[in-house]
Amino acid sequence: MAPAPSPSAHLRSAVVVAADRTPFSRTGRAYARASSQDLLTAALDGLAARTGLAGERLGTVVAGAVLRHSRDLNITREAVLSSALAPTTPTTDLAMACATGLEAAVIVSNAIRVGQVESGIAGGADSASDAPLAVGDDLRRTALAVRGARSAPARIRALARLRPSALRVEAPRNAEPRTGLSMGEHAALTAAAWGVSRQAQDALAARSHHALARAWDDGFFDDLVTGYLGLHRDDVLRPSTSVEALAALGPVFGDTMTAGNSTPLTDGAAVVLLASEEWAAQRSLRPLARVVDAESAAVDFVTGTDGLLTAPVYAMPRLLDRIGWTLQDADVLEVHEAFASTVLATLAAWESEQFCAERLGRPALGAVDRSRLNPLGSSLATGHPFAATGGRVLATAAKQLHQIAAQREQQHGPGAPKPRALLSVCAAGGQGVVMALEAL
Amino acid sequence: MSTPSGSGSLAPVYARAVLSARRKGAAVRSAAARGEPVVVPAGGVVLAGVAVDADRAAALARATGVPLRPVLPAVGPHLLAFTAQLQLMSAEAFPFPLPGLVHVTQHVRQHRPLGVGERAEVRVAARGPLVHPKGALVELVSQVVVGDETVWEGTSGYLARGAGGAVSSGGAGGAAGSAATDLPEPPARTAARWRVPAHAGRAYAAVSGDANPIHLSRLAARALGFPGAIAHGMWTLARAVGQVEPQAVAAAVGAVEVRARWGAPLLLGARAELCVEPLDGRRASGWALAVRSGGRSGERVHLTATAAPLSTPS
Repeated sequence: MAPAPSPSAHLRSAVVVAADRTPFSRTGRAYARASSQDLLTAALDGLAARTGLAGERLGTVVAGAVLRHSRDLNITREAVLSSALAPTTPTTDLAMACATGLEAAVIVSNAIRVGQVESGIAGGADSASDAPLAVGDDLRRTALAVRGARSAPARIRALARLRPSALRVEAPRNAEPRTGLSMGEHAALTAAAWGVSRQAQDALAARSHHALARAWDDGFFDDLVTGYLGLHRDDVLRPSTSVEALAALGPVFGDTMTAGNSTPLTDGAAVVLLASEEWAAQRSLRPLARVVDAESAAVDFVTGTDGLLTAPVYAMPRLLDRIGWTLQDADVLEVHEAFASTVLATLAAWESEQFCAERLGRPALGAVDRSRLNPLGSSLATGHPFAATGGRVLATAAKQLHQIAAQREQQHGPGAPKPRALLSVCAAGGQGVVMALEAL
Repeated sequence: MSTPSGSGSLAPVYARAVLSARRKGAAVRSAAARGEPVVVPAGGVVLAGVAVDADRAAALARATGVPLRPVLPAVGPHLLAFTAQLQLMSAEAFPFPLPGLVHVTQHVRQHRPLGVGERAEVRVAARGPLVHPKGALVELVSQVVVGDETVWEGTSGYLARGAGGAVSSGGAGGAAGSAATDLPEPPARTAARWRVPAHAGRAYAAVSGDANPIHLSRLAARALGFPGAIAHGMWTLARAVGQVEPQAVAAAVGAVEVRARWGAPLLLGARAELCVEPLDGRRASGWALAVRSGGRSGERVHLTATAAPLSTPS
């Protein structure tokens, strides 16, 4: 039986029009002095310059930062006010850990599809260099009590309760509050459960670096990236790395995960312009791809039932079934490389008849053609400024579809099948977002 | 070529200026008494291959409350010009004593933003002295040039108080008619309330190298006749222009013009209001700015300025 038409079939299209990001930089290097807000402003200004949107009011800007200072409570609005966009552009701050950027695109594209807005920007920025430090709860509560005290003796009494141990500074930790395990430690559990080998992880990492280096050399990012503070290329990228060099690194998480097959802390920002087809046509902007649909999922990692970063394993089949696609329909499969092992465990789960029958209640999604997996590299080579990754992945996938469609049309003429892409981003808290794109 | 990133590297220049101040002051007074005009040196100062690097751009952004962009704000290249100005004004041939000079006007013509880290040549020459109601005005004309492209032009008006007698009445300079004085009435629509941070003087001194003690120390400022340490004029201007710069730049694709005239000193720690109104009532025409304080009417005006798309030279 043919699948029922998607319930969203009667909605209008939301298209990816253009994108901009800063080069991504290893923490403490080129952007050591820049804040998340500076980075987001730079990406917005780059996009405005690229698309001629300076002074223009957009329908919405949805973005966020994972690491945020208390002063960043309205970071997207502040960045828009600092940017060349019209100050009459409304904004929303969004937080969904590493999936923030892609979820922002889901929200903006949905608003376009239902006709609420004609245009919008989705994205995110993160600076691990400028990460917030907080005073410990004891000191913070004491300070609040002192501020609230109405007399000098009351203030002194409040202060007297302070112990030296309270004078601690707390840095944000890359650890799950409910398990105490870092993201890498969680990923190592998943890698062990799926028997993901060290060799396979190193091979994926080397391929990611080589593919990204080739894409940079080919000029793929010329209209997707604007240099910032003297940096013009992702500086995590190591074009000359090799499986042999990666094999020499010692494990940092579990037995198989190293600094080479895990993403380093990174600073950067990425934004994507989405719009209705009419809005883009009015401005002579050529859309790259159409957002078909998206799905999010969450897993129970707290009891160890599922791995922390495996939510896309569940989100993807739900999305595919709703829109009537198979995993193999994807000409481009972008799976965010939080860790090499995360990508490999995700693919293994989709290939496992037993896992899919028991946990997804359906036949296995099957194997994918590895040449279609992250064809231009992913986070292992670009780095991963948490909230910026979704925008990077979306822009990279949309432009690839546009290029593949142009090649096909040249070879087969009009009417050639439209290339498709599937995107997957996992996130802290056991969440994940997947999205389907199609060339126009 | 090194760029000054703090006050330290300019300290010898200041020391020289202070040492020569008494002698220069006496020379100007005696020239004025004899009715002889003083002349500023014809030559200029050229600094080649200088840049504002990312660390300094970040410090400027933090000190003045603007975002750290890949390019400098419109008043940012003044950091480079100021270093050359200080060399010129502390030179033996420059007639007025540096400690008594007050930055009273500034005119900026930015043809395109200067990139962070972008190497440029800075040329500064003196013009004047011109007649000013309170003394003599010397204008320092600066150009920031990349290759053969003039990216940024600045004219800084420095007032030598009480030295009016040393200006030849029909002389080369004539009356002070610089573009920076061609300003509308200060606007009165409050856009922001400021509390001038107590550390603003030290923060801007560290960025600019302008370590004039009136910005750093209450005692030194009092000794020189101010009620307390005062904010740098360029800090006040940078922060005020920062409020409208995204709009001005968006309208003019980075080609902007800033005119400024400073009035009453702005004390560190003081409260003030930033007033903003569109020029000619149209946002696209640019913005009129004022920093005011003193009750509801804001009778003390610390800064009057405009930030607008760059007009082509007439």
